[in-house]
Amino acid sequence: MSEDKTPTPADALRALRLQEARWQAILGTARDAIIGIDLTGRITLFNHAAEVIFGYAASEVMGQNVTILMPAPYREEHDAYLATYRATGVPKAIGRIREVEGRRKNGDVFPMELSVSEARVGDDVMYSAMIRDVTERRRAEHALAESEARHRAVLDTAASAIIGIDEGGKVLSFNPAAERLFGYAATEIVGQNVKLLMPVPFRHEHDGYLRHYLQTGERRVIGIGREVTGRRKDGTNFPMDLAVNDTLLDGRHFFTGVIRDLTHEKEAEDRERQLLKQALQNERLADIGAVTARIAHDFGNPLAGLQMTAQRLRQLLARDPVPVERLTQATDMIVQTVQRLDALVEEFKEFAREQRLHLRRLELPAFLQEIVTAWDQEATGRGIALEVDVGTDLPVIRADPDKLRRVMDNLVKNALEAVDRGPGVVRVTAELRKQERIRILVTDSGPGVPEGIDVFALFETTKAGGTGLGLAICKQIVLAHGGGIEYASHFGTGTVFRLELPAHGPTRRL
Amino acid sequence: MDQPDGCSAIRILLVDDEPSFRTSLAEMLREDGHGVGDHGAPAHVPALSSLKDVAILITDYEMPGTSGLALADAFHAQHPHVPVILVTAYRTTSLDAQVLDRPFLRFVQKPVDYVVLHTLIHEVCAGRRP
Repeated sequence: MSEDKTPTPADALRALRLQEARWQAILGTARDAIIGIDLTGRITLFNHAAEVIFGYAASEVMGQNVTILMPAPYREEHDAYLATYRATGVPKAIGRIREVEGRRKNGDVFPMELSVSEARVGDDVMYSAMIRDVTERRRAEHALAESEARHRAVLDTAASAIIGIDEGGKVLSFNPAAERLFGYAATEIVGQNVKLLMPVPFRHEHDGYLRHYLQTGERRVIGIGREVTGRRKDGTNFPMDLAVNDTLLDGRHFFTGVIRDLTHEKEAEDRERQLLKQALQNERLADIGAVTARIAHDFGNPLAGLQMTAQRLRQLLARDPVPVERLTQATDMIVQTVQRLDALVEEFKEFAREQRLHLRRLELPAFLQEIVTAWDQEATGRGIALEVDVGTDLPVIRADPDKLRRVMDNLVKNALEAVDRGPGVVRVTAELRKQERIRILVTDSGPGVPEGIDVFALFETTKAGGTGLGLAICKQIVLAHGGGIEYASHFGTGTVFRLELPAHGPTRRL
Repeated sequence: MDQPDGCSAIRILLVDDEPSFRTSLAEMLREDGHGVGDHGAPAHVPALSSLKDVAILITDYEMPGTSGLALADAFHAQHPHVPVILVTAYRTTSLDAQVLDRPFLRFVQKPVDYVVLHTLIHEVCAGRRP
């Protein structure tokens, strides 16, 4: 029984082994390398993480000088350092986390964090080092710094003004081009609301726009781009092209605006518009005689028809009993004629209207697909195959979508009416030509345009009931875009209308 | 409008591209006892040589394709004794001159008073065979 109360040497040994096993477990599972050395620098402890980091098995390094784990110059200095410490007791490494370099078995040198502590057991002194391999961290930090530097360089040298804002509209970045364009130093504007760069009334609307976008996701400018007005520090306004990109980071939106100054483009546009206006005006003067004759004819005939139908009504009303069905037919005729006159008035108005363009960025493939889709039913009803073949590599162009839609609708409608009844084909194709010019073709398998007439001339028409205004208006619109339109036709083989537009809109032509 | 001159029920050929004018006029003439063949364009008119019983041609001047004047000439070549009434919404001096060159033509400007036109029809019908 006494053996139970008094620990025997075997018990003490067991307890010691248990303790040892615990330490070994801790050392073995530690993620940091733990290395012990004695006073002379010989390795006395080398845990599993140390094996992984340095690439040595513990058995290879036990008893070796720890300097084998160091590259030059640490390797040469370490023995002397240890000797100095032994002599003076002044530590250099102990108790601090330092960043130094280690050397793996394969010779690779790597950055590591080192902390050293001293343990004394009686006269025995042991130094233990905790080592963390920071290669990956350094690499990530380096990559981040490099990426930041690269982006900074792009921002600093970009010709476009680039402005970053947060969800609240607060300016986060303002590059040198933005400084030049707006006349503000970055330090003046960063932290301010971006609406400072906008004139009234946009200034008051911007916060609302942002809120609306964040709530609904509905885009007005973001990802679309548009022409807006900017305001300089000196209070002057200028036209600019704004493209905004939305980046989601940690659930928060960051907006990057890229701005191009359109001042010079606008001036060129104005000059061109002036020239064009003059040319159109001259053409118009020559057209006035033709217009007068055309109005007298196009309006005079339906008016005479209305007057005749009114007399017909009077004739019918004089009968007893009044023939209600015929009366209804006659009144229907009046309504239809008035609608036709109204459409004619609209067309004349459209022709007389100045072709002032509202230029936007236009995705041509989607735009043309939309046009063709709108005419699908009409084509199917006529038994005509309506095809669209548009390359996806077309650049975004600057054009007036409403005006261009009018042109395309007119061309497709004409093509369908030329074929009249299937079997037949109407095809819309588009391609990028040299010098950033887009070519759109509308081809039909109809009978072709008779020789000796200019379909673009005012009042020239090959269609019964045609006013001869449609293609004349189309030509005006295309010219206003700085483009051209022509057609080729051969009797029996159909017609192709060729439309060419500058991708950048009308200004680049000057 | 029954008159003892053989002109109260005649065949009239009417060509005009304005549907309301053509339809209403044709129906009124039919109501008054005439036989009317009406067409929207000269191209739609049957072979002129086959139109032997037509007593009067009423045609618009400006139409798609062939003009009313060309139609009048072609018709006159086939039927030299049948009078032609040319209607137009837009009268020019050059057109007047062309009408004056053609004694078989009568000229009426739109808008047209039906009573006046009907009187003219009687007049030219009664005068067609002197």
